Amino acid sequence: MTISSGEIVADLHELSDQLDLDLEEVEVSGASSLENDLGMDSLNLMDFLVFLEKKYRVKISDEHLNDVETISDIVHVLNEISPAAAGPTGDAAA
Amino acid sequence: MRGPRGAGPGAEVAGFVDDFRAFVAGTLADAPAPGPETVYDDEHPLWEKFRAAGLANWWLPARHGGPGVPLRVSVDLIAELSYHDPGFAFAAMLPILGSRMLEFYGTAEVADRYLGEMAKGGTFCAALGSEVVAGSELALTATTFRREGDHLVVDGEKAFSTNLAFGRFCLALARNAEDHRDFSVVLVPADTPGFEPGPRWLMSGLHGTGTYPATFTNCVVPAANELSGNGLRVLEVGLNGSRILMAAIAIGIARRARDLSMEYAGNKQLGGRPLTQNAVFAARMGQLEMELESLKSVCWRAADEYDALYAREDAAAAFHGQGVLKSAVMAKMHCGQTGWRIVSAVSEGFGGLGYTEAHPVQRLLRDMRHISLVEGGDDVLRELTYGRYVRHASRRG
Ligand SMILES: Cc1cc2nc3c(=O)[nH]c(=O)nc-3n(C[C@H](O)[C@H](O)[C@H](O)COP(=O)(O)OP(=O)(O)OC[C@H]3O[C@@H](n4cnc5c(N)ncnc54)[C@H](O)[C@@H]3O)c2cc1C
Repeated sequence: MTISSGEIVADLHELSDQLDLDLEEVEVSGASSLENDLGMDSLNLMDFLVFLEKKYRVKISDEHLNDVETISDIVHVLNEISPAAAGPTGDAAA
Repeated sequence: MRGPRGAGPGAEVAGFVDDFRAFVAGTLADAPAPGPETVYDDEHPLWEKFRAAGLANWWLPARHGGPGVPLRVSVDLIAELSYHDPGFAFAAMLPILGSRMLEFYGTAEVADRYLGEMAKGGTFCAALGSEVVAGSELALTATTFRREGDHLVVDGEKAFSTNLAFGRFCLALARNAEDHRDFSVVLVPADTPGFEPGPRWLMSGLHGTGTYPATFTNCVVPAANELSGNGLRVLEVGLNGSRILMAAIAIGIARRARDLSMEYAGNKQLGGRPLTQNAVFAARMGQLEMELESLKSVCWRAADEYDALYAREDAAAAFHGQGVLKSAVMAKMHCGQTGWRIVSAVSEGFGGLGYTEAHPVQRLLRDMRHISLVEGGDDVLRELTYGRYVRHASRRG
């Protein structure tokens, strides 16, 4: 099973209050930049990563984050390291 | 978690304010000015009187045995304390930082126990965020905690913590030794083996305030002492209240500066007339009054916003979601900068006397300085403001 951008976007919407993100007027997709489109700062990002680590039972290292800019990049990393994910990255909702 | 009352002060709060003012007028106003060695700990005679009058930790809610005074009222109270003694005001208000973190994010039992004692005994608590290497980059915090069964073990060094050496407990920001993204705030009782406050920092201003470094060596505390939520955000929430009250210290200092100026100018002759009748002096004081009004406005606005959030049923969650309250940061920045301009101009108005130890105005300069430094220097807060409230159009004010 692969993790999709749709799932991550749904996670983000669920967390937006907790992360203090204004997503109401933003169309969030796989291509959305975490920093520029979603307004995440390092603290939001850390909260989000901790949430993802718990949900998908993975450890996201700092090296993994070097190339992360968009939701799709996160999906890619998760699919690469998640034991639940198999096969190439699925990105149905992107 | 819920707030205990609405925004307006009720009859009980009004009675409390009367008692507070009686202490200020009857005791604080006549107390000797603190020197570099003075520490307002819980054995200092002035603190004893403050505590005996039931005034200490006035923001603690009724359910923990406190008077539950809203922040909006606290702004005015702090301004009155700081008019006479900014060091006393700082020492008295800073426990709001630790206590609000505990009130919102501690377990009911731990919060009840420690905040109940604080309300009953008029005692202090301290908070430890700052570290020498991490500086304001709190994500680099090197103090760690380990979860071992039903205990936590804390290790590390902290640089500054006010009221620490005599606080009954402290709240330390630490990182999970096994997960560098997991931060928590941990309550450490003062008598915990391995917890060691260092020698007091001698400060250039805020005399009367005791601020210390600390080390934690294999400090074992119950697991229930870990506050819930991301520690970095929990600290941000705690800082909202103390930043607003720190900003309010500027109001008292600025009022004092104005009144000292008027007193001096009434006696100083220029061209055969008192300086108070000089147009340049009048313009200066007009400018000061305008700036002083702006200090009050930003503090009141931030406090109203804080009180409205605090009164919500879901206050702890609402604060955690938001973390930093923009208006609190704006208030601290504005009061630090404008307050500094006010006392700088005022001290200039005393001529050479304004630079001597013979006149209290030089003390006001040194006292005002801390507002732009403590709990985030202006460079740090400008960067935070830009990142959170300017870069994205939807967040701009
Ligand atoms: C009287 C007093 C009481 C205190 N009480 C407490 C307490 O109770 N608990 C506690 O935890 N701490 C306390 N502190 C510490 C205080 O909060 C910090 O000193 C303050 O936040 C500044 O942080 P810093 O000392 O780490 O300096 P830094 O923030 O590291 O600043 C050092 C220099 O680096 C620059 N700099 C830092 N970040 C940036 C940036 N992003 N952009 C550009 N320049 C930057 C600054 O402008 C400055 O020039 C107290 C300090 C004092 C003086």
